[in-house]
Amino acid sequence: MSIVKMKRLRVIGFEEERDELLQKLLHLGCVEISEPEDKLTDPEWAALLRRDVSALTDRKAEAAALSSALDALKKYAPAKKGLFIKRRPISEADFFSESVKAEALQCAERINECTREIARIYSAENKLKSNLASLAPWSRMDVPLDGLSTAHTQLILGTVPAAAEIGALQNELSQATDLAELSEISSDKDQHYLLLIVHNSAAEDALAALRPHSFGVVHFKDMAGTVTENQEKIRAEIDALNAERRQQEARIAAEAPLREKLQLCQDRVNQDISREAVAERFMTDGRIFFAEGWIPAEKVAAFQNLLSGFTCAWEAVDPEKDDAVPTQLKNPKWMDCINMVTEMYSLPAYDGIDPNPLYFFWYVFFFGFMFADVAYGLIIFFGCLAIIKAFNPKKTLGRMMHLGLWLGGSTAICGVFVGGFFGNVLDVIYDTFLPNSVMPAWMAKFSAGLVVNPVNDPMTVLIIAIAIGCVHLIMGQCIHIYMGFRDGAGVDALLDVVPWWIVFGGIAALALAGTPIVLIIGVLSLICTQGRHEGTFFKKLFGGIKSLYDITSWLSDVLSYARLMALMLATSVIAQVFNTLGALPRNIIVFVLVFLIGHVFNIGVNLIGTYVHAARLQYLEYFGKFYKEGGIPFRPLQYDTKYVDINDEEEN
Amino acid sequence: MDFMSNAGLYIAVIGASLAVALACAGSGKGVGIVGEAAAGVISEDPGKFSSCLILQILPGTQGLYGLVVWFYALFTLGVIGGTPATLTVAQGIGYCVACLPMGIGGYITAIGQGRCAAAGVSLVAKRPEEMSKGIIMAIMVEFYAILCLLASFLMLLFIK
Repeated sequence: MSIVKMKRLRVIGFEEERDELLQKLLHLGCVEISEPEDKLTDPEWAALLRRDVSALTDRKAEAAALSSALDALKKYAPAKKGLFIKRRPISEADFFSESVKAEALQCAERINECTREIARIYSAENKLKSNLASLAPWSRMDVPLDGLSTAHTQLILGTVPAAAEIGALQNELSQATDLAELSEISSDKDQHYLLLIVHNSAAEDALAALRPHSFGVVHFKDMAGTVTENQEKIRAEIDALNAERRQQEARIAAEAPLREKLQLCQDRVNQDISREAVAERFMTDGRIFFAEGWIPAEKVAAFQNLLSGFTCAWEAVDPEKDDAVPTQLKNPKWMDCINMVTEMYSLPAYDGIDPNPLYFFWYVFFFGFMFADVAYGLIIFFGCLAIIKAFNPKKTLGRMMHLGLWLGGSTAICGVFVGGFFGNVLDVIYDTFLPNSVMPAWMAKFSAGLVVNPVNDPMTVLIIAIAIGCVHLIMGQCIHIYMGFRDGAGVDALLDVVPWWIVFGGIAALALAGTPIVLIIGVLSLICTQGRHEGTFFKKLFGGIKSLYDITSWLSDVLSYARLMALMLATSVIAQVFNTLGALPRNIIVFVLVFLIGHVFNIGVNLIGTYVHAARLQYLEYFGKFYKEGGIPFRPLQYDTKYVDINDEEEN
Repeated sequence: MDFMSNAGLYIAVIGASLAVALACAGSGKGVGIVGEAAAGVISEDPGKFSSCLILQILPGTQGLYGLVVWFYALFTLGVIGGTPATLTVAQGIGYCVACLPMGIGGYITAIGQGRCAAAGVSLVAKRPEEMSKGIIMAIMVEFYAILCLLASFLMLLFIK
């Protein structure tokens, strides 16, 4: 229930033991090594040590080969897969097995070879296809392409733009020379395709006559036989290439049984990469290394144990005042899921306060209050439960699902008190489809809302929402006071808060009893206290008066909780609208259809909306009162896998 | 004076029409804005289609809310599935005004949300893993459309 105490760690050891030490640190998973940037820019350090080298580039190349092989497998042998990856358990020894890695890398190389071959085939095929396209306009011509000229005549192929008039061209040609004949082979919307037969002696005159009309000569190099023959030949070549490509694709698909090994190896290489990346943060002079980082105080003993096998010197000391200490939060496991909401905002600074236990229940409650529907809550709860059971997701997704259990439960419980079950579907069903039967008494009581029905009585919900908001804000201020006392500035914190409480008490007294005296005391105490950090007397006074203006920000804070009501109402109103729409035609099939689509939509829209607004009330209204943000996340060297779970229990 | 005796109803129906027309116009515009941005991203990487699609449908909800208000209003007035109610002009104006928050609010929020979601699309283009944040920012706009829906709906519910 706190921010974990950190120790600054410094280690000096022998360079040849570095890799083994890193592997052990990876296993331990609780040491973060810092970037040595600041040391390397210091000339005294730089004279002694330099940045260590690593095999990072090699590992990255392996990772790239594996991922392109997996992509190819996904393309040519798609695996049946669900929305989530089901992680396999595996022992550490198997995970780091060199033989598996070698096998997987060989397999990846085979697949990538095929992929390269396929790419080559595609480019060859494209070339053939463009040849085919350039031949197409000439297919009517039955002269062999390599025999276009005789002893006295030349056969010249050429094109002119579609705008040119063939008749005019022929006229002009006949004026230039008698020894030429121009005929059209074909034409399309861009060009005319022409054959010019000309006597050798008149060739230049003929071409000169045609040139002003953009006559372009076309050559077919390396082609023998007629156009049709060539076309057939190219088609046959394309077919052969296609067959070859299918063969390569089949070879890739045949590697599908090794997919799991590839995934395993990709995970393993990724661990190697993170290890090597850390290795580059080590500094060395060739024989020894120096590394600096952070370790949770409670893990120092485990670290000492780990180091017993190494020849090294090390120390773990308390952080100094201006060190940038990374933040790690430690809470009971069931509360871990709220971290995803905390991290979306910002981790608390190392000298701040762990917000998780302070707002976990508020968050869950606000979500439930805004969603407030028994059926929706159960759907969220069991949906998340099913995903957890089936896929056992970790990290963000796992946290999301565990949080979903809480949110779903809270939604269902709140729903009980406000009579939400798919909105008002019970009423609608009894009214529309069972007009002759009467709703059981307990159901009618539930449907009317045990505490309040938001659609029929929104004012009551608004008052409840504002009241909840006031409790929330006051709790935030109490935490502010607690932090003040913890950090030795208790009086300051009290002065920040208590005058405001007197003002609020005064407003209540004025409204209920009509006595303005408490309010006047409150305002005076604000004027006296709120400018206390200023220098001169007048500045203090002015600061105090200026603080009265903050009453507007308090007002907006309190009114902000009206969103609790608005979203609760939104859920039930949208649900109700869909129920009403569905029931209009009095047809059970239409009803079920509208019901399904409508409620899926309602859950979808409101799930995200509620999630965000429940968080917003914490971030702005609640955290604003006490939170000290800007923590640097603690990122130790640790296993981070996608496809497998490394079984840590098994000791070497 | 048949027209005058029905004038209240006509005025109410004008309001309902505005609710659906303005909200749908806004949604169409909003979805279009996101679609343009999405097409650009998809031309680079077709694999981002599903992420872009989710962002694109976000500004579509206002149109749906508008339809809901329209439908609910016509249903309450008996134009759909019943005998049309006889309203005084004052009542008609009441219903008409009740429909306006959804129309005006829906129109403007849908365009705003469209812009926001289009920015989310460019976020997805650069950092696909941050898509959820793009969605969250667009959903912040949704809240105000929901408030409009609530206002219109509650007024339709309680105006007598």
